[in-house]
Amino acid sequence: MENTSCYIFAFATFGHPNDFRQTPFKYNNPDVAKQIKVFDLSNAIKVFPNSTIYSIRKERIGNSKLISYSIYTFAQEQASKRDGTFIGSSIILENKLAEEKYVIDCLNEFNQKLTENNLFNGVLKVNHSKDFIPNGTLTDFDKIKNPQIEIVDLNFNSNNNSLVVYCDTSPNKLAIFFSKSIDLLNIYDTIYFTNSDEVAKFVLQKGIFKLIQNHGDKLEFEIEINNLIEERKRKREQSISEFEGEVQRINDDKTRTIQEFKNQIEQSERTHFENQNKLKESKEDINRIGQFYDDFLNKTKPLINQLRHNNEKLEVVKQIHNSNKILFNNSVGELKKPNYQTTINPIAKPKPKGKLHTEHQPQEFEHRGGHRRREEREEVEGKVYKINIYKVATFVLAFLLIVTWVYFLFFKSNSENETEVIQNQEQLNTIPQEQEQKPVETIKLEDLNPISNSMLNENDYRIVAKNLKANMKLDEVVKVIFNKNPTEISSVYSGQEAIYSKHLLEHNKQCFEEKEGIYYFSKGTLNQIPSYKK
Amino acid sequence: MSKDNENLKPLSFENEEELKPLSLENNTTHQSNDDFVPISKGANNEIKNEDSNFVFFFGVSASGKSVILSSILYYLSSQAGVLSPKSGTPNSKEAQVLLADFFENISKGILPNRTTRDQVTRIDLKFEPNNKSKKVPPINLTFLETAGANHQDINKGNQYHSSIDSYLNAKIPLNILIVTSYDSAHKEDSLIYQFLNRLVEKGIESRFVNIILVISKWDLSGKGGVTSEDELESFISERLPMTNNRINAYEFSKTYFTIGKIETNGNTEKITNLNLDSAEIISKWLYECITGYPLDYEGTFWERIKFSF
Repeated sequence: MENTSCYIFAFATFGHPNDFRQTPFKYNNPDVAKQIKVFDLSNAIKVFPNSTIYSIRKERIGNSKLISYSIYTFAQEQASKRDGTFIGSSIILENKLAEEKYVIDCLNEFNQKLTENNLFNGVLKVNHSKDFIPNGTLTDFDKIKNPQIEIVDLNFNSNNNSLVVYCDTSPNKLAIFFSKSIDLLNIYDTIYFTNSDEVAKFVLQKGIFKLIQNHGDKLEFEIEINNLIEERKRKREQSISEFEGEVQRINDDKTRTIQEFKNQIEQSERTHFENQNKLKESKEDINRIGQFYDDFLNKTKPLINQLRHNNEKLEVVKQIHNSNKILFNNSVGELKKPNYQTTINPIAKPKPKGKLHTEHQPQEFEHRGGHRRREEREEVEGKVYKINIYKVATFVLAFLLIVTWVYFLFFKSNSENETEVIQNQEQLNTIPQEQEQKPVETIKLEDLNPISNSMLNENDYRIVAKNLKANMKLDEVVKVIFNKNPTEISSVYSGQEAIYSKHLLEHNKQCFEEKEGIYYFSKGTLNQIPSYKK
Repeated sequence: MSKDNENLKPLSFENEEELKPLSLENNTTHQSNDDFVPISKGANNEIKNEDSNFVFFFGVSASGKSVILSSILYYLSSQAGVLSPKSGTPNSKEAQVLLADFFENISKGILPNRTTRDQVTRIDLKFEPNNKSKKVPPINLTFLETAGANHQDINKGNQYHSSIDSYLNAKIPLNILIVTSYDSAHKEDSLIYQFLNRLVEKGIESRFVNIILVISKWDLSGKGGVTSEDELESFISERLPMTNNRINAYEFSKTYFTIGKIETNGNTEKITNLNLDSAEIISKWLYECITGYPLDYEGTFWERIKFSF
């Protein structure tokens, strides 16, 4: 739960040697009180004799959201005549707000007594704010000490902007300004109010802070507030028009998609209709075909009979038969072979569009919307081919894999040297093409971790040598080395025996013999044994 | 007010906690009331454009830091050469206003205003000497304007405000002017000593920074300057014994400073006779420290022949 409470600070510029100091006279959480930013004024604004500056400031310290109401009045430093020096007070409300008129009453009352108690002829009586004599009571303090009003819609992140308002700062007017300022603190970190034209002119001349006037018929503070409201309204309207645009786009999509579906259906219906007609025609043709064949058969049978029984002249009959054939061929040839569209083209089915652009998509996508939709369609069309490509690719890759296996198997049984190469290649995975052809010696070794920085001294490698026997396998040799050198080798490289053995081999090639891919210790002394000295 | 409070009777302060100063110095967990916990400002405190010669002033409030700064600027630009903004390094609006104020006010005899606490105003400038010798090249100068309160704060082991700390932590070429005034030097011996210790703690080795001790407001001695070196020496050894030993051990420079005659007229102080002699001494020290050649270097042998034509 967040704390709500009220802090009261007094501050002043004391000159030599303390300079600006502020002290909390009323506080809830000392840690927060300590971290509250200084109420010092920058050289953009200056307190003049007989002038008063009020300010409202936002600030965040950890979980505390603080609104400070401050007052600055002129006071002279003890040891200097510098100008722009001041005494002041601040009431800070934590996480909630109180009614501004009570805040102002308390602030004025506190500062009034502060100046009475601690100034003599306008000069500070003390040299540090902790020595200020405060006033015991504040009339309306109970009305502000437990602030209750929620702070709505205020972003406490700093934006390094300040505003100065030249206006009537009588308590009633100031209360309204303060109240309206909460909203304005979204744009400014601090807003100053003064009725002093000297201060206003100074601010204007420095040009660091923005100065606005709010008196007579000049109502720039209201304009400022209105600008804020307008700006918000503008953003709101912009959002509305964005939303509307989106609705419009979706609507267009809807119409287009429905139209595409309709066209497709019409097209299919037309095809169906044509098919139906063709079917009907074909059915009719079946009878005609039967007729043609029957006619021909009927004409041919009498001709056979004529030849068999009536000794008709063969030549004449043949001629008649021929002319019958020609007749038959012509009539059958006139019939069209039925040609139906048996399938409805599945590709052409349109895809409904429902994809909306989300907030974070770049703006340009919206302009390219139509283009994108076209691409989508092409993608759908392309799928039919893609499936085939994948199938082919799978076959090709599978084939290559099998070939590779066969290749490896073949080489393993034939050449150990090259097996070594392949194994190394599999481990390292990054050997350039040229090196593959070179002998084993040049194969890049994987580094030990940590990289070996020393070799065993003579004494140590003699001990190793004593424990080695001829025809020991390389990994047995490594085992012996690890056992005999626990500190310099075993403790550092245990678990890396395989890599270590390669390094050992690399350094002592003359001592090993290779049989069927396995290295055996043959002769000599291993005098280059990698180790690691801490 | 809310309903809860309407039912509450006004509480008298006498019955409740009376407003008392929150004295953190008595609190065992906090070292001092002025202890400042830096507010994290993200990357704001990163020092940009480190390619310059930084001039850093140390001294309590009203010791004369701003006066010395403005008089150096005035001397450099009115007598020794040309001061111009460094191209590519725009000064902040605050720095531009401050610079304009310095030039405008000092020529009118108006002393600079006090400096705002907890912020560093950085002024980036390029100085091109009138001296045409090739051994006297143009230099970049970055003046860091800070408030006395922040220097006073390092008392008793407290940390610098983050805005200043970031400059001291950055590895940049520093030229440090330690300023203490004629009338209050005796009160600041310990603070200056602590500052020099702080530099050591920060790893700023004395050999790599140029440090000068400036006794300001020398006019309060009743004299415009020092008649002999011994006068300044004896003043420093008497008023600032710890600082003096440290400075002698590391062979830092020492000088005095006065802006001239100041008269109080009613409620305002005004310079009636502007004296840039001591500003000249400090400016020349600064230039020679940075380049290794004096600002009024007569030129190489050939240059002297060339200039004589």
